[in-house]
Amino acid sequence: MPNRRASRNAYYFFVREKIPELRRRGLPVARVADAIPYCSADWAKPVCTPLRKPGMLVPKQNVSPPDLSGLSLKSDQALLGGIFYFLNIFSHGELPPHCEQRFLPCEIGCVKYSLQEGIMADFHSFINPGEIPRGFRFHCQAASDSSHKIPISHFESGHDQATVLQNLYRFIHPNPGNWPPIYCKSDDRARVNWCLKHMAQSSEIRQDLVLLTVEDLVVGIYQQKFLKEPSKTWVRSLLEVAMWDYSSNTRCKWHEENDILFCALAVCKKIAYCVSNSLATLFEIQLTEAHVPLQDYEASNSVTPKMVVLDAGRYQKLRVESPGFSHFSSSNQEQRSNTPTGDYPSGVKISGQNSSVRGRGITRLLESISNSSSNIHKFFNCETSVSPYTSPKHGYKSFSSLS
Amino acid sequence: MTGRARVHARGRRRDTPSSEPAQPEATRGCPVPRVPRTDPPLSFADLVRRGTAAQQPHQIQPRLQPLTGVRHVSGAGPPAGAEATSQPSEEHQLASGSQGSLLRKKTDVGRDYRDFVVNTRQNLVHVRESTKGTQGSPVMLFSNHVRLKSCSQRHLYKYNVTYTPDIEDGRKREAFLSELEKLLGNRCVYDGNSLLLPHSLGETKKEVVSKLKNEPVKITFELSRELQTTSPDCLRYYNILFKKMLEKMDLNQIGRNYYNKNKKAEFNEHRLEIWPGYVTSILPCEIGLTLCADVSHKLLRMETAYDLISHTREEARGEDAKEKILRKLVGSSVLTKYNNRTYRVDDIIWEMSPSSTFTKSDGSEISFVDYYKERYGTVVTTLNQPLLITKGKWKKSRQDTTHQPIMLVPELCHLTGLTDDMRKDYRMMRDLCTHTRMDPERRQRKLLTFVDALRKNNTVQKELRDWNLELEAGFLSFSGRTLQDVRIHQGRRMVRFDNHKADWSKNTREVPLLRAVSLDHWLIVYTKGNYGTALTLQQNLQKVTPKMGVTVRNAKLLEADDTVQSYIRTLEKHASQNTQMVLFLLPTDNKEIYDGIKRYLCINYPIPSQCVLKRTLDRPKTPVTIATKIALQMNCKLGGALWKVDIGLQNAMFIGIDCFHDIERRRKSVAGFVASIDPDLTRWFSQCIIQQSGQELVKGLTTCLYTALKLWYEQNSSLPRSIIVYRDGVGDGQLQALIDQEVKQMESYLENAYRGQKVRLTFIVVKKRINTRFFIEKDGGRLNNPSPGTVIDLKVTRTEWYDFFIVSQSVREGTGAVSPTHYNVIHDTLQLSPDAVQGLTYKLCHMYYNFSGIIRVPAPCHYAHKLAYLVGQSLHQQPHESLSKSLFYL
Repeated sequence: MPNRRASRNAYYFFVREKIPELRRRGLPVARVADAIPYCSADWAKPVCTPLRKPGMLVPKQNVSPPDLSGLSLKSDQALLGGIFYFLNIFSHGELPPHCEQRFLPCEIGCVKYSLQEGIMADFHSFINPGEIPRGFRFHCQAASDSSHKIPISHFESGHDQATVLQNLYRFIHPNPGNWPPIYCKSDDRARVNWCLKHMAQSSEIRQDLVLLTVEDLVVGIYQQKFLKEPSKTWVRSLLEVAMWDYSSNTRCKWHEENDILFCALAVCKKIAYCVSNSLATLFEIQLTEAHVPLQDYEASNSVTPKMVVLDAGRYQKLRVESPGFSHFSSSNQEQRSNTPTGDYPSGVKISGQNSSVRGRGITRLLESISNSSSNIHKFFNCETSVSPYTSPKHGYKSFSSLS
Repeated sequence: MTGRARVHARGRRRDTPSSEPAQPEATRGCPVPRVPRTDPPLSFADLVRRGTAAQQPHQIQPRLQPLTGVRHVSGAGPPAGAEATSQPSEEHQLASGSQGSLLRKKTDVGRDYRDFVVNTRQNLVHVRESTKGTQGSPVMLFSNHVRLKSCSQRHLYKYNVTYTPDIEDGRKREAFLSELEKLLGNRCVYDGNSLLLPHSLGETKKEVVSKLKNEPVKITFELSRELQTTSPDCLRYYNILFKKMLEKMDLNQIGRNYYNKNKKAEFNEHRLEIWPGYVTSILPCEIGLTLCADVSHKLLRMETAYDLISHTREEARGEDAKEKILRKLVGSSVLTKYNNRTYRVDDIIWEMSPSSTFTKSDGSEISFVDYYKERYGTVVTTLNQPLLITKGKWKKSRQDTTHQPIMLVPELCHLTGLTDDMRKDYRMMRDLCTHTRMDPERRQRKLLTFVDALRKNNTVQKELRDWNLELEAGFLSFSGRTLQDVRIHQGRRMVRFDNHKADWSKNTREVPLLRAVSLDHWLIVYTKGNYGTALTLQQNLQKVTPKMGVTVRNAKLLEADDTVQSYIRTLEKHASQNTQMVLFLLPTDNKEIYDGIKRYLCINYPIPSQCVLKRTLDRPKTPVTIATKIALQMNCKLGGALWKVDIGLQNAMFIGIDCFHDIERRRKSVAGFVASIDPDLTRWFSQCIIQQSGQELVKGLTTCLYTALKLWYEQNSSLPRSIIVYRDGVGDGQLQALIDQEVKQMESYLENAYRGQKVRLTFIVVKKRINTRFFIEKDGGRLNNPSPGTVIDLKVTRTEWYDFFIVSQSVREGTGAVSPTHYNVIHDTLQLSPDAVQGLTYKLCHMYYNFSGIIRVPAPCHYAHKLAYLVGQSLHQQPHESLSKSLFYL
């Protein structure tokens, strides 16, 4: 069906942004068209007005490149031991920009994580969203129904916002001193930030948490380790993984009991799993249950998703030797191959690279597979090679020759 | 609270109907039981769009020139929003959208506003002479179009109207004009922004001062253009004219259709009433203007919102009464009879009552009770009731600004639509069906009475005469053609079937499949207590499959709890590399669980899966039939093939594209792309493109096409000689954009891929939601549905298109009128003759493997729809690559 959304130009948005100010000046502006005459002069001026006000839709650039100096990622060891907090807050939908209250926080989840230790602790609580703004009940109800399904009113488990915030502070930082940076996905950043501020207002505790994005964190770690910057798309695809959606001990109790996928705690835990899964191997960390939900997979050493390249004999051999892990990581490889542009940061040096060419049949097969997946195979194969499970004898050489 | 008044001015609902059933909205407008295998009635907007956005009968001749010396006046935007004007404006946006720009603001500068017509036929050299085919046996058909003759060649004059100072309120704008009767005469059609007059005002620009309640306003009339009576620009005004006339015949506009509440049928037993009504629109066809009319029904519950509130309150008698009421009422839609409008209840204000006051637009305070008495003469009897609140409908551009919400009095709000409980009431649904389902004979008779009433009504006659229009008596009849039966080849045999039933499931049951895939390693997952059912199903499958040539080994039967987590845990434990298929026996049709399973098995662990509801298997009569169907479906999902038809076109790749939108939840839109990768059309490559919410036109077709061509090459070691695309879901207003974007994308890519060799590409737009119906006269003069394979390519088609209708599916006797599908060839370097393209299209309707019969649209279209639907509804993510060659989305 037709798309009726107008393609608006920058001027339109400029004018729209000006409207509240014009109204404050007492001008009769009901809509953009009315405001145009008052704005032309401003538009003509060279850009000195800060177009990007806080709270506007531009969350990203201002935190890039990430400031990792505070984390002292000087050495691998420091990086491995560094503690990150992943935070997410769910809301009953998002109210339109003209409303004072943009979100209704209802659930919070946070995990304490380090590459070495995996998830060290987690925090979860339901929040009492407060009074629903008049006329938005349907809006909020619909938003809740289509995601986390937390009842919008009369939900007993909801704690009041001040308490929740206090508990969160206690969780993040038991002793006074430096506040560690908190991370969330870039898509959620605006919401989480707004909710934190909102909750702080009601509780009168002021503690400005620095909210950074996980994407930048991953980029930062990469840069630190390999001195190269991975592509954002690749990072994003690494974080968009559905495989742990229904893993045990991932969602909060309420969401797990009700079999609902969307849970704030699960989002945080899944970030931790993804980071562990993709980065920990590069640091040669042995994955534990704290890194990824391994226990779900222990019993099954045979679930191997089908993939053209996996039918190659030596790959299977490799799999047989390392049941738990290789199954696990090959499914991860599946994940990534979903993304059309899953480009592995080019030129990254990984131990085990060799330029000798062997097994041309496979090479050709790989070439015939689309570019993206072959890249991933390269990458993946290298991963396995550094992992402690596999012996380096098995034929990854021919693959790495492609890189 | 000025909400009330405001909503009169511009609170109209204007969202376009989405093609997807996912939107709760879809059930709201016309919740009348539907005729099986026919689509819901076309909305008025579709008609208008169809009617005007793409019509230009005399395109090839030079266009009518404006008066000499007339400055080309610009600036007549879409109407300002008076009630009478809202519909054309919808079409306007579309029309302008097709030009790649949007003219929504009233003061759009520097653009002449007129209905844009896409003439796609002028580029198709091979059909410049004629778009009519000859094959098949001729049949006499009737349509639901009535010819609207224009008796004179006189010109009409279109004026743009501007007000100084500007007036927003559409009713007021109109009132000012009616003060000027002396100048304008009594014959004029005003759409809120511009005026159509049968005579000239003499000057090209005329300024007049009009007074209303001692409020002088300067009105400027500026001549925009001179029009012929048949010009497509006039259609908008004719539609407004008809709206006025219908209102004089006691028909009230609700949504986009017209209903007569005085002739309502009451179902006291079910507390329901049905208003009879019509869908009408003026369409420009090959033979000139026609009035297309169809029957429609409006279903209303007798219960008011107040009844529901007091009822629930009595039942609950406690603290949570409010909560219960909120749960029941919020989100439901109500109709207010005093102005025939529908609203969605967004919230309830308990603190207010009808005796509360609000501020009117003129600044005075008034209570709701007084307001309704004053404005509508409606008396509110209960003062002790809360008020309902609705945010109202706003134009998209205005949605994000502050609006006063609209308050409604529950007592005056009638609930509309059926609740789930009502839907389950078999007896009630049957009663409704018998009332609303009309067989062709009844339907046509009813329409005939309606047209006769129009023709005999004096005011209508006078009005029409004023505009030199005349409605002909009787419906348009012409000759169509019924195409030859298509032969189905299954295995080594050719299957004959009764073409009239359009179903060969019985004929093919005993025949081996075209390509059977044996099922060696597979799982059946069932829930507690259903072991027996699972076992029976497996036995039945093993019973029916040998005849098909399929070997089904014993499955691993696994028990799981009815949660996604448990299902997935079971899979993780037992699914292996060899697992070909997982069959789930689900106890309930819980969407959450279905989504979870599908997500897991389409994205993480790509294994084809089949979900079966326990309820389906419990039906006592048909276990074998059901097992057969399940077996066929599983065979398709495993990459098997059931049958083939002789397409008659060598080395051609067929592509289907369709989009899925979930605007309500603001989810991303999904475009499904499906391409055949073997000459027999048994293997299909599929890919989906996830796009911005609401985006219809697809970007990134190149990658899809690349992969499809690569697969074709791998399979056939040559590239297809021609490519035929069936595109579903595009409105007429988007044709130009479609040509500019999708066709161009594909063409330029193909040119590259074929390295300069001539690429032959045919692009056909498929449209299901149309109001045109065709009937055939059978023995004894009774009207009936035309048999499958009936093609119509004259009179009701368009001059500037290479288009045709096909009735491909069959409808059971007595269930209603079959709806034809409209096809429009917008690009054709393959130079298919009308006969070829019609035959081809009809044959493709036989190739949908999930139904052994003929379907409404060509198979690629429906595959694309299924794919987009699965991804948009359940997966929300690209399915795994390794599935792309199987029909896993069936």
